[in-house]
Parts: sequence; C-alpha cells; structure tokens
Amino acid sequence: MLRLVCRSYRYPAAREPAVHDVAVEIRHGEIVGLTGPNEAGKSTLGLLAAGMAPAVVGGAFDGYLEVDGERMTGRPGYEVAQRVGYVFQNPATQISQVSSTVFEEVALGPMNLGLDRAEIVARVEETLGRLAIGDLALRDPRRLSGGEAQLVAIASLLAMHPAHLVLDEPTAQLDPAGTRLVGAALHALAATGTALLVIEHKLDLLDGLCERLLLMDHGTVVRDGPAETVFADRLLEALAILPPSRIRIARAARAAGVRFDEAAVVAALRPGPGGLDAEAGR
Amino acid sequence: MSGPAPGAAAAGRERRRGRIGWLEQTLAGITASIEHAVFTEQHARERGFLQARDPRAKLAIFLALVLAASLSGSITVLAGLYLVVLAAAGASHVPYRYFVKRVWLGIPLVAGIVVIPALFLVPGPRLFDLPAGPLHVAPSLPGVVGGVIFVARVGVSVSLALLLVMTTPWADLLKSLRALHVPQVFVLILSMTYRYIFLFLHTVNGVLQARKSRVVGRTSGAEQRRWISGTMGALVNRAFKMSNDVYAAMLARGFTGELRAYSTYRMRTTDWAVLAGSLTVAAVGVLAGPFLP
Repeated sequence: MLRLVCRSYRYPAAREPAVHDVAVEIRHGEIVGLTGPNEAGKSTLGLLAAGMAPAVVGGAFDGYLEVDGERMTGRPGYEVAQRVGYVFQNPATQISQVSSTVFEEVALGPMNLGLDRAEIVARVEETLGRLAIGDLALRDPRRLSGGEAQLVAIASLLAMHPAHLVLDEPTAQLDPAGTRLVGAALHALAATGTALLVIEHKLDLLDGLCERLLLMDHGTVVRDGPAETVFADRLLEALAILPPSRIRIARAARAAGVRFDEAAVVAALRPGPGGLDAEAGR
Repeated sequence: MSGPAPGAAAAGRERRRGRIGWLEQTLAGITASIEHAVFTEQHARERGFLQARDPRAKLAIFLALVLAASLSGSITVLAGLYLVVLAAAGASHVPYRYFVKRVWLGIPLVAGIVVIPALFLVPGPRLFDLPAGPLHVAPSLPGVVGGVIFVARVGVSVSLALLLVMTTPWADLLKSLRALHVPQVFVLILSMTYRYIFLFLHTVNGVLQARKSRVVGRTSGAEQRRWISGTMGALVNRAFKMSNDVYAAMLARGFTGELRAYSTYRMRTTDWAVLAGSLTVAAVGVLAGPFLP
C-alpha cells in the first residue's frame, strides 16, 4: 500500500505551498484517478507520491511517504523509484537517449533491476505485445512520433512490473486506439496487484478504468470517493472539468425533456476496461 | 533630397534578410547537429570490422594508438598510423568523405592557429624571407616541420576518437569506460551530458521554430538582440527544470548510477588478436619513430 501524508509541500523559491493538507492511500491492485483544473497541484501530488519530490525536485516537504509500511521520506531517489514507478507527461524526458532500438529502450528498466537476460526478453516482448507496439521493436526510439514515443515510455515502466505506479497524463499524445490499449494494459497491471495513480484531464479515460477518483483544487484534495460519485458531482463542472461523455449525454437528454431512468442509463453506458474515448464516439 | 537608389535599397533589404538568415542558419545548424549525432549512432549499428569488436578492446586499441601518435615525432609513423585508421574505417563501412571531411575541416582552424607562432619563433634555417614593410615573413624549417608533425598528431588522434565514437554505441562506450575503471562519477557526467544535449537542442530548436512561425515581416537588429537575450534567460530556466526531469526520469527507470547496456561483452579470439596487433603497431611506431624521418 502507498500512503502519502502531505501537510505542506513548497517548490524551491516558491512562497505558497503547491500541495497542502492531503492524505492519500492507494491499496495494491487499486486504480485511483486524479483530476482537477490546471494549477490544482495534480502533477506535484504525483511527484510526491513517487518520491521524486522533494528528493529530486527539492523544496520543503512537511509530511511523509510510506510504501508497504516503510517510510520513504529521506531515502535516496533511486531507492524510492524502485518501489514506485513514474511515467512522465513528456515522453521525450522518459526516453533514455542511450538505446538504439525500442527493444533495448524498454529493456533498460528491467536491466537496471538486475534481472537475468531471459526474464528481461520475456518482459519486454510481453509489454510490447500488450501495447501493440511489437512492430516498433527495432525502430530508433529517438525517431518515433509523439504517440509512439508515449507508448514506448509507458512500456518502459510497465516492463519493470512496479508494485506502485504513478502516471502523469499517460495518454496526452495518444489516438483513441492507443488510449484504449493503455487503459487495458493498466487494468491488466492492476490485476497483478500493482497500485496505480493515474493523473488525467480526460475523464473518459478514467471512466471505466478507476474505481476511485480524487479531485484536486488549489493544492488540496476536495473530493475523494467512488468514481461514479465524483463523476456525478456538480463540482466537476464548476471547476470547468467535463464529466464523462455518458453522464453529459444523459444530462443533455434530460435537459431536452427526454424522460428515462437516468441512473440506469448512465450505469448501462459505463465502459469496460480501457475506458471510453470521447473521440471514438462509443 | 532623393531616396536611396533601388540597388542600395535592395542591398539594405539583403542585409536585413541576412540577419534573419543568420537565425535560420543557427536553427539549421542545431538541427544538423542533432541529425549528425543520430547518424553517428547508425554507423555504430552497422555490421563492420570495428563494430564487431568488443568495445573494451576498441577502447584499449584507441588509447594505445593515441599514445603512440602523441609520443611519435616522425611524420612517417604518423602517416602510417593514419593509413591504419583509414583502412579500419573502410573495413567498418564508415563513409570516407564524411569521415575525412569532419576531421580535416576543423583541425587546421584549431591546431593550425596554435602552431603559427612556432613557425616563426623556432630557431633554424629559414625556408624563405619575404619582406613585408618593416617585418620579415621568414618561417624556419624546424618550425614548419614541427608544425606539420603537431597538426598530423592532432589529425590522427581526432580521427581515432571519431572512429571509436562512430563505430561504438554510446551506452557500450560508457560501459567499457567503467570496465577500464574510469571513475563512475566521470562516466555518469558523460552519460547525463549526452542525454541532456539531445533534449536541450530539441528545446532550442522548438523555441526558434516557434519564433519563426510567429514573426511576420522583418525585425530590427535591436529587436533581434532583445529577443535573443530574452530567449537565453528563458532557456536557462527551462534547462534547469529539464535537468531535474531528466535525472528523475532516469531514477524512475531504476538508474542507480551504474550504467547497464543490453549487449553482453565477450572477448573473442579475433578481439584478442586485433588488440595484440594494434598494441604491436603502437609499440613499433614509438620505437621506430626516432630512426625514421
């Protein structure tokens, strides 16, 4: 289980805390969504949960991070990183630049874990297959499109089989098909017991993916509950965040005078693993 | 008073275009640098003579031959070493034109300038004496010979370094440095620098392209300078943030400071033979040098 208690976290040279008064627990096998408007502190919370802040980013942190009952605060960044993976928003940052093929790029993390060669090959092939990017295996990772690079960056973390994983807008550059693949891969990963925190603006991705949703605003968590409950909360729209398509459609239909059992229809439209893509128009 | 002649106005426009052209050239240069670096790694992945060698053997060969070139005062030995380098480049499918041009276009500018004073200051018989007003241009024979040997040494050493980098993937090169007990902190700095340069150049490229796409018409020199200084400040900020991100991303991949490459190393009989041959060539070059012109 990952537990983060943050009374206050301030970036270096910042006067105001970016995150404050937050206590989050993520159990093994649980997928937790994290959403909120711009500048709400989502990415910062992700960095804190992954131990990157303050270990790497610096800043003043009042609180603690606990992974499976062990305090991580004050430990070297690489030690925490081996317990909690982090997928960056920008895949260019994540790509190592020292591998000449996608296969080697995805193998880099497992190699750093000191796994034997057969295990590394098996994990890389399995991960590339799961994200349907097996055909990229021999491509140069520095010459991929944005979407391809993002899938490779995600694959490079998934291949490490992290016990806890934080993903910062993992589908920002992906097409609907890629988004579905990532959603399905995250579901499969959670089924193996990995605790996942997915930071995302697109609630259609989180819909069907996570059971629990955190909503942040002004550096703190203002809603923490079952995804269905938070999706239906009017606060989302007050914060200019669009609820999932099925909820918006149901509301629009009701507003147009259509009479139906809204709760039943919304529940029936709930997507399966992988989430629903607004663009796909399902 | 009449306005400027059409020719002068056109020249003025050209000059102004020249300022914008300088920016475009910078952009093109940065892009070319990135492409060249990627291109270099492509050669390292080809199936050639040096690419097939164990990187540790290659590094040892490189060090031995550079040492031989540095210790040699014979132009014959240096020419011989350069022929060996060219033969190795050919056997490794490195394009001669690119390889030779990349070395010899830069060296006269750096090493050549360094040796110019020596041409005139080293005592000895003068090659010629050209009066130039109150001065005399009179290079000495020992000065010229010393200058040629110096430039040849630098040329051979740089060619060896380039050949090593072109035929060895960067990760393997760093790992072999560790195998030769080069301090980890040094290897780590090299590794980070390599990663960082790529990302930084991409950022600079993006900034310049964004500027180019937003600017309509011409800007004055003062505006250009203002923009450049502003951009430099913004890039420092971005660079700082990026350095944190790059390091954090490496940590997220389980990086502990020790470099790991997917390829496994095994010294084969051929590697040992090539290493022994190269060490012999280096030793012969150093020992025979004093007896050769």
